[in-house]
Parts: sequence; structure tokens; C-alpha cells
Amino acid sequence: MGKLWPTWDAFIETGKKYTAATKKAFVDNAGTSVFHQAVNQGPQKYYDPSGNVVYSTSPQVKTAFDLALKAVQAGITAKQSSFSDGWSAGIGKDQFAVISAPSWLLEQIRNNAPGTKGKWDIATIPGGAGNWGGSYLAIPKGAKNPKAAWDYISKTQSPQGQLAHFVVTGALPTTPSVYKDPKLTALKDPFFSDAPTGTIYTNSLLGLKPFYIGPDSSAIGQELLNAITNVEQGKGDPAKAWDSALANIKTAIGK
Amino acid sequence: MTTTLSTRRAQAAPAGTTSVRQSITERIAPYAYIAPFFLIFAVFGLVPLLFTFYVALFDWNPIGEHVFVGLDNFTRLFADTRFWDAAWNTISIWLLSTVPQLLLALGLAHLLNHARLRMAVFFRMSMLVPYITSVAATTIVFSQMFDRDYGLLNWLLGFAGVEPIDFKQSVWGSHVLIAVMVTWRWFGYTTLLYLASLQAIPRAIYEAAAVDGAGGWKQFRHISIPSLRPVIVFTIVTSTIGGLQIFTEPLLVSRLSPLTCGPVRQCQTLTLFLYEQGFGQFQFGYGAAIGVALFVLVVGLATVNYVLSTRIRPER
Repeated sequence: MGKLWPTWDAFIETGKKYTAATKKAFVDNAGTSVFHQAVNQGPQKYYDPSGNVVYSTSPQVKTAFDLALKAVQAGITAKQSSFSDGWSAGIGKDQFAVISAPSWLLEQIRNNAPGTKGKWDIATIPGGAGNWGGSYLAIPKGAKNPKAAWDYISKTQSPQGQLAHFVVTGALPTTPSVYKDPKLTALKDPFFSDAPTGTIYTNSLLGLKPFYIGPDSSAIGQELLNAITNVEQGKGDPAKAWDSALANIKTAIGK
Repeated sequence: MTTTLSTRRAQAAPAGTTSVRQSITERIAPYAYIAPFFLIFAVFGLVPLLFTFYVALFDWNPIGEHVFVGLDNFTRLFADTRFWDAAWNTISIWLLSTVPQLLLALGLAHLLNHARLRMAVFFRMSMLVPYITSVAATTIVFSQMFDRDYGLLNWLLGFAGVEPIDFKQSVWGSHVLIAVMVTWRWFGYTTLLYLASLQAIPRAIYEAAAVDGAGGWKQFRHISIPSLRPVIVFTIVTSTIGGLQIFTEPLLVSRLSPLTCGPVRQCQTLTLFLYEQGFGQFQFGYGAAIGVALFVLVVGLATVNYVLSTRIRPER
């Protein structure tokens, strides 16, 4: 399947064909499934490596934003915001064909739509692997027993600990040393037509270039996403979306 | 009560000092009885309130520096279009939820008070069911009912040939949706308050009015409403205070951008804006300034409503 969409432009073209043939939406939404993925594929996002805010001039950001608007205007999105009630219902009712899914999202699809078992498959994402983000573990200064907390974290986050976690819940290990472990490479998921869940995510990760995430990254991303959703679902004017997103970011973070 | 006290005082009189001490104890006792409330209120109500005023003067990072900035947070707030949008959303949702709710409650209370109503206890008690349902559960159910593609309401409208309405995306739609939830939750409670007051009105007055030829509407207008005046004032003031602080409903309406109640903040209320700035962006000082502004708004509108609603007087 991934051969149908090496690039995002090819993805949108495939979507147009699908929508024309089936009269159904191709992808769940433009914000999360297109913009949020495309913006995370590259070496620089909202900040430059020295920590300066560059969202308004970063070519990667504008390209991803325009791609999302293009998908909206192509009429291939189901206008279902990720994780909303309609989105959960839509998964089970074949409202759309494609969802951008990091490995942790597979569990949600499984839970939301048990009836769709065997109807899904997993393909590589257009444009190459990216980083949707992750979680952080912190030990507060006032912790009573920081040593025990650290031991717990070291154990659960050790390569073997992460591997065990991945096999059960699908949280992708951040430790490339286990990417060749047979427990991982042999992993297939019958729910997703026996897709090689073990290797398909990790193979794409090996060449990933990290980008700098700053303190306001999440606020910036949220405003850009809001502007796209407003064009997709609301009455937003696509020609003004970029400018209004930049204005909203400026109000939100002051720079 | 009076007799008991005076007897005891008379008995205690011969021993001079005891009587003084006893009367002091008696004078202090009532304050001691109500003290627990005021102590708890001071700790959990007054101190946080005053502390909020204090925090509003700082650039306050919850785990970092606290820099005194004077009134800068307020200057920024008044220039912030998000604040004015949130204020407008709050007032709009409050009006849309309070006015129909109080009118509906008034009408329902009148019906439930009808002398010939059968199974009156059942109907009266069932009014309270929405009120005792968890607000989160109510919100999730209503949110699904009003969904664009899979909602019950749009499904029914579809039979009438109406195109699906996207309530959550438009300003008015989202306000109506939240107002419906708030009305649903509170109308039963308000109805019972009105009903309790109506039942205190002697039947004889209605019978006398009927003899004089007053119909149902005239009785309602000239007997029920004036008698309900104190409780109407009470409900208007409390629903003003509550309605301006609506939080859970808008928080749970939009899953992708919960803190703004949608991509263009179409139903973000002031409390939600406060929460977004304070606990989403960790700008405690700015959040506190929003809290102070909300406090002023609530006190102001509650006062205006109190003054206006006390003007309901029996017509002569």
C-alpha cells in the first residue's frame, strides 16, 4: 500500500481517486493525519537548534500547513477530529479509509472498532518517518525517595523493559538496541491483517533526524492545528488561515 | 425558649460571678456553633480569594520565579481579544441557559402544584433525576446526541430532510448545545424550589380568586408570581453566580482542543480560559488576573440582577 503514496502529493492524488470511486472520505481529518504528520518529518520544526522560535519562517511548517489545506480542498477528509466521538464512531462504520497511526494508536482502533478486525492494514507513511512527540518522566525536587523512583524508571525504561511494554501495549521502544530482537521482529498483528507491527515502525525510525522541541512547541502546534480544523470544519477562509494562525500564536506566546 | 432561659437565670442569680460567666457563655455560644463554617470558609474560600488577588500582580511560574509586575497582567488582559471573546461566550451561554430554565421551571412548578395532578410525588421526584446525574455523564451523552455525523438529533432531522447541523463548530450551535445541557441539569432543582414556595400559598386565596372570576393565567400572574418573589430573586442570583462559571460542559465538548472548546474558541468560557492559561500554559499570574476579572463580573451582574428582580411586586 505504501507504494501508492511515496509523497504527500501522491497521497492526496490517491485520496481523490478513492473518493471519486467510492463517494466516501479517504482520510479522517487534515489536521492530525496530514499537517501534524508532515510537520514532524524533517530536521527543524518550530525552533531552530539553538532554541530560537522560527515557526513563521521554517519551510517545513508552511509546507505541511499548505499540504493540509490542499487535502481539505480536495474534499477527501471526513472532517472528524481525532479522538472525538464522531471519529471513534467513524472508525467502526467505515466512514474513512485511512488514519495516520503511530504504534500506540493501534490499540485505540482495536478498542473502538472491534468489528473491523482484519479489514485494516498498516502501510508506511508518505514523506518518511516522523516524530509525533512523546512523554517525559520527571522526578520532582521534593520527592521523598528519588533513588527508588530513578531505579523504577531505569528498570521500566531499560531496553528490555520497553520491549516487554511494546509487545503488550504497542508503546514504541526508544532504544534501537532491541530493534533486532526476535521478540520484536516476529511481532505481527492479526487485527491489522497480520501487518508486521514489529518492524514496520522501527525500520522507518533508524534514519530519523531529531528536531529541537521548545517550551512553546505545543502551544504553537495547537494554534496551527486549530486554524486547519477551522477551515476544514468551520467557516475559516483558507487564504487567511496561515496569517490568522500566526496572529493567534503571537497572542498565545507573545513572540 | 424564653421561659426556660429566664427561669435558669433566676435560679442562678444568687451566685453573682457564675451568672456573669454564664451570660457571657450564652452570648458566645451561638458564635461558637457557627464558627466551624466560617473557619472552613476562611481557609478554603477567603484565603484563596485574597491570594488570587495577590498572585494576579506577579508573573508567577508554578515551579519557578515569581516576578512582581504590578498591573501588567490586567493591561495585557484588557487588550487580549481571547478574553473578550470568552467574556461574550460566557454571557451568551448564561443568558441562553438561565432565561429558558427559570421560565420552564416556573411553568412546571405551576403544573406540578395542580390540585388534580395524579402521582404527584412521582412527577415531582423525577424532576431531580437530571440534577443528581453526574455532569460529565450528561455532557458526554448530549455531546453524542448533537454529533454531526452520528448524533441522534441529526439522524431524526434527516427524516425531515434537514442537512446535518454541526452544532459544535459554529458559535451559536455550540452555545445552544451547552445551554441545553445546563438547562437540563438545573431545571428540576429550580422547579422544586418554586414548587415548595407555591405550596406555601394558602389554597383559599386561589379559591377566592376563582370565585371572583379569575382564570388560570390570571391566578398565576397575580397570585403565584408575586408570592414567589423571594425565591425568584434567590434563583436568579444563584443561577447568575453558577451560570457565569460554567466549566465542565465546554471542557468536554471538544476532544481535540478541549481547553479552548474548539478550534476558534467558539464556546470557551471565562473559567475555561482561566484554566487554559493557568493550568494549560502554567501562567498562574495571568490566570489569576482572569479570575479577578471573573469575580468582578459575577459580583456586578449578581448585584444588577438582585436589584432588578426585587422590583417584582404584587400589582395593586
